[in-house]
Amino acid sequence: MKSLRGTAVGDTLARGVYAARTARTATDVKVPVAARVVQGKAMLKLQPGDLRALKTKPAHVSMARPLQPTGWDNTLVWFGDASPAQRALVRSLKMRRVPGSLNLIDATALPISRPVTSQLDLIEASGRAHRFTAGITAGRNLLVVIDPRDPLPLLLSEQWRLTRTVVILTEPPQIDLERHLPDLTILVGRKPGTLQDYTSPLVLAVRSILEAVEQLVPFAQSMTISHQSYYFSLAESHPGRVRFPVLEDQPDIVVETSAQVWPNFSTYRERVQQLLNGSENVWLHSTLVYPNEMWIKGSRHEDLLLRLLGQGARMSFISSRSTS
Amino acid sequence: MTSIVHISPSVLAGGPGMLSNAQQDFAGHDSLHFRFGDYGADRDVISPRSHTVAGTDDDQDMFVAAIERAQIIHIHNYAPHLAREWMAQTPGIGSKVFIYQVHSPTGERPIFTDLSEDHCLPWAAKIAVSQAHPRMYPDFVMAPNCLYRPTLDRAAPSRLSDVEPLPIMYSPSTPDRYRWSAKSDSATDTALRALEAEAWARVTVIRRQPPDQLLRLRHLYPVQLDEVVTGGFHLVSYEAMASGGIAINAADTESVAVLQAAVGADEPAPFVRTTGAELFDTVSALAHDRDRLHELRLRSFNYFWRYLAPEKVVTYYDEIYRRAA
Repeated sequence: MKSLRGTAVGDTLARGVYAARTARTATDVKVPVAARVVQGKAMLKLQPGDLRALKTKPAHVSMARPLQPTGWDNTLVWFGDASPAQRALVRSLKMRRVPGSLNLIDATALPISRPVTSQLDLIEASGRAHRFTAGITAGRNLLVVIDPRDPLPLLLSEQWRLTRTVVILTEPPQIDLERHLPDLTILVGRKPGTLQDYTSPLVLAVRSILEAVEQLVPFAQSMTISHQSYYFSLAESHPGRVRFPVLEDQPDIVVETSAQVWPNFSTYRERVQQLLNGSENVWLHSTLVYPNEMWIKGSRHEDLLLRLLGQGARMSFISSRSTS
Repeated sequence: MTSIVHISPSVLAGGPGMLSNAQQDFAGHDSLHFRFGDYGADRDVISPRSHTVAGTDDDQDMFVAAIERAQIIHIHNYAPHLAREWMAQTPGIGSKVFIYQVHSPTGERPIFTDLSEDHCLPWAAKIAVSQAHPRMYPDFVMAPNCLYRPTLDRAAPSRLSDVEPLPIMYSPSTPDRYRWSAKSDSATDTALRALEAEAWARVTVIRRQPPDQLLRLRHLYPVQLDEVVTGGFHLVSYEAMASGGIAINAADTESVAVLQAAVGADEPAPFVRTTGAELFDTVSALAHDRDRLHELRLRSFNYFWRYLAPEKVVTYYDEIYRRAA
């Protein structure tokens, strides 16, 4: 495996890391973090200083430091046959060290007793693999799968909801990738660009491990470089009183109500719907979303709240009587 | 009488087994629990009336006979491969009512994935334990866990004297530090060490105690610490209330609301909610106000026996079964 140190690619990567670190320390930069949105309208995605996307100018805008994801919680490399090429890529990633901890999932060492040949095998192997990698399900993970021999790592990547998956093919695929990940993006003969360009799993078809490294490392590092965006929604049905919660503290979601929220529901979906119907404001300040999560533009607040709560967001209530 | 078979891959802190036992003892149901894994002597004592399946021919005969007789098949977290194979061979399997229930983030990962879909079974109802879980399973109906052990004493707590050190129990079942299964963090550890150094507190940390014995011990501890990390709470909080102790946890608004809604209570559970950073002050305040301590103990005790007593919990499940059938 050829080292990239001292090469043009290596120098570029080094500059990228430096730029990222510099950007992370620029904590005095402030961006709009909240605006008033009529309930039922689409979620907003605001870039720093950019309010032009709003059809109706918000009545209230608050400024705060943007979300600053520090990188991946885990970078997981799934390698299935421990071939020299796969190990070379692992070594390269260790050397280049994308943000976050690097964990190797040696599929040959997973407690999976038999080949995955059926849907049932897949489910059971998935369960065992989950136990093997327990603790990362709620992380911001970059999962790199090299030449998958069975669909198990792809299934896992779907289940780890904050996980971004890159499949690297150094040879023709041995499984039907599109069947298992219908939304994937396959790149052949062009570079992946940055994470912001993708919301779906990505397949890189490369000619060599060196090419994979050249493409993968800057792609992974773009998580840190392009961090300056902020995501929120505020649904307000009664204009006039707007107060912003302390943004960098828990909880992630604050519901402002004018009436007692009586727990009378038989499913949690009902609960969320009741909250939205009965609340004056719902504040989201969650670090549980990716900068490039496009689903946040979804038109239903209910779905967004449920997804955030499902990922571990904390919700609390304030009474608007105390905020007027 | 309804014939019910519970299936789980583990003992799950005794949840399926305790529910099955309570259904037998309080509702007169023909209820059996089959455990398909999670073997070991320390696990066996958690749910001694459950049948541990080792895969023998006798196991299969017993299981198939129970399934054939069953009206309700209640699967907890997931049905292992062997259980599904045996069920598929059972005559009349197509006429059974299948109930799915998700329980625990510990040892049953991934909690964030709806494994019910993977079974390809016609679920008549899906249940999420009414703790932190329903937010992850928003279309599931909610039901509390069933705490039912023979060592559970129904005697109300007596007032602790003003001079006696405050007994505090902390019984973390796992060292996990994951989102919903964490039992401690560095702030909690620091607070516990600080409490241990105080003359007015008597902290007991218990690990790996058989649950029946642990529950008997709980009656001696007015303050019992669940975890104060995740925003959820666990069976420990049930046990604390049942034994006349104060349940200290960090249950967030939603965890409390979910429990209240599931049991139809007119008030939230009287947990003392705190964080690791505030744990020392929270316990200190209880230790130095014995009247409030006693009043909270009584409220906790009464809440449990009013809404979460095993004979009451059985009726919640009966209602779910009735609607599903």
